[in-house]
Amino acid sequence: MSKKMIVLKSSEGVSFVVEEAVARQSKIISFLVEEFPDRELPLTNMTSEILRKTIEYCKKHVVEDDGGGDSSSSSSGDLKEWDVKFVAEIDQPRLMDLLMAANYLDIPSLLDVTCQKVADTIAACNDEKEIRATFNIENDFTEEEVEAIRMENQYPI
Amino acid sequence: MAYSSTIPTLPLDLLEEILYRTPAESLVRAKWTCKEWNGLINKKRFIYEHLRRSPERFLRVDQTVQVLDLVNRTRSDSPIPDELQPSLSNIIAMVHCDGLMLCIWSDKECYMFHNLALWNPLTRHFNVVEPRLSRESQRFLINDHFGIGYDVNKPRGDYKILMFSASHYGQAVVEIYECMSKSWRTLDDSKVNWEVYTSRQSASRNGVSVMGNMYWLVKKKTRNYILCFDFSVETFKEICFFRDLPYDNNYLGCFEGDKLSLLQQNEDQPSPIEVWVSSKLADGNVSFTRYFSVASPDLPALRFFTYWGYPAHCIIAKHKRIVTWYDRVSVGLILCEIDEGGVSNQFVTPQHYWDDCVIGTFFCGYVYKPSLVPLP
Repeated sequence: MSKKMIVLKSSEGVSFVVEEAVARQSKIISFLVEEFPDRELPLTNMTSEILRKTIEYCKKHVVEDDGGGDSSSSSSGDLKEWDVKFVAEIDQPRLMDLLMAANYLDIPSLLDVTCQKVADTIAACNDEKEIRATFNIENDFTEEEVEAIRMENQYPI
Repeated sequence: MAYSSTIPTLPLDLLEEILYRTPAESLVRAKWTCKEWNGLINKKRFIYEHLRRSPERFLRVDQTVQVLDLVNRTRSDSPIPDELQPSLSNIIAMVHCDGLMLCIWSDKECYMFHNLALWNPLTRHFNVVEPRLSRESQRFLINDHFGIGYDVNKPRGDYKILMFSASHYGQAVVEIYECMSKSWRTLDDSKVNWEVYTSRQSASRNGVSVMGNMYWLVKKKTRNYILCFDFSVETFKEICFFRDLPYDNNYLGCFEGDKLSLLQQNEDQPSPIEVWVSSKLADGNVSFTRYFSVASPDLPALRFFTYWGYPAHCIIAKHKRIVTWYDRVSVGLILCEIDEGGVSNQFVTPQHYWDDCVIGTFFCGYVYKPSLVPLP
């Protein structure tokens, strides 16, 4: 039996043909497929690059039902290792986009690994200045507030 | 979302998801990043949800305060609070609750007198708890037992400390300290006629705080049971009786946040280890079932009171595993993982000693979760 395919379209209008089982890891796509069968699904807020990455992740994580019950295509230990490598190879801005995509498409496991990667990056920073520099966050504390914080906190800020 | 989302443009719930996964130690620094982060990280709801999701660690105090991450096996060191500094070798016990340690240590001048304090090792805040002045001695005494908890029906953060005197002789005393108002009051109707399980030494006088209540392993004549102090209704309850405890050493612990674990081992080496876990404490009718047992010639002896200190231990449900951090004479501090098949992993972790003091790491290890919970 041939596998059912669906078409996802990125913001640039590029079409991606994906096995339905792969795409269904997104709860949103799963819903849309049922509501609008045989239709192309436009994902207007997702670039081709991010959509390609998302599909790559879903392909790796798809659970194949081969008649003999559910069996994942990889063992959980291998998958974990693959996930670590997968997010390690993505740069900061794209990681953020992927995190947003995981949230938008409702793919909990992808949201988890991307959030964890950002958390690890925060944990690797030595102080808040490094965090600000890494994530391009503006310091919006006033001099007075910094002073007040210094007074009530024993940590150097 | 088209191109390059950044942290400042993330919706608040996603920023929260990221910060829940950031270790508490890093949040101490991260909260000064910007006002949005500061507001979020200081929020009570965030602090307790972060705590709920955090994995256990071990805490140990000798020359420094050491916190050991059980997953990455990394260790952090920070200075000991000034207040504990002169009394280090006198630390009797600590009880962990929500990232706060209730510390009990004996007086340097007179071992009969004990001192009490609440300490958050992460924020490094340390508050001494003054004894009730109406008491004759005006001090905490060697026979006093302590516990920490809270009323589960009230908003979190309103901690109470329990003190009870378990002496066979004289009048029993049960008192409650309200951390918010910093005041003691006496519970009249409570009777204290048990002896908290004291196999070998007084180490098990530190019970376990789970979900706001305290639990101790108790023996009364020939009966063994778990004694609970319910902080919501402020009464003692006897839960879960054991016909006998056939092992020499019995360690009570918190399991998965809402249950108890009981680790048993005999003194003779190498002795098998049995791990029992309770039903959910909140469900009532608490009963223990055997979780797993290990018999292997390479098992360490987890002695309660060796010359070198008490072993910290933690039962990890995911892998049916015991993780323990114990002292082996002439080898050092060992982090050991024990599965049903025996010792699966062990590492020697760096150790401090005083140059001039043989009892260097006399101190206990404790299961601990770093948290930003403020001292009340």
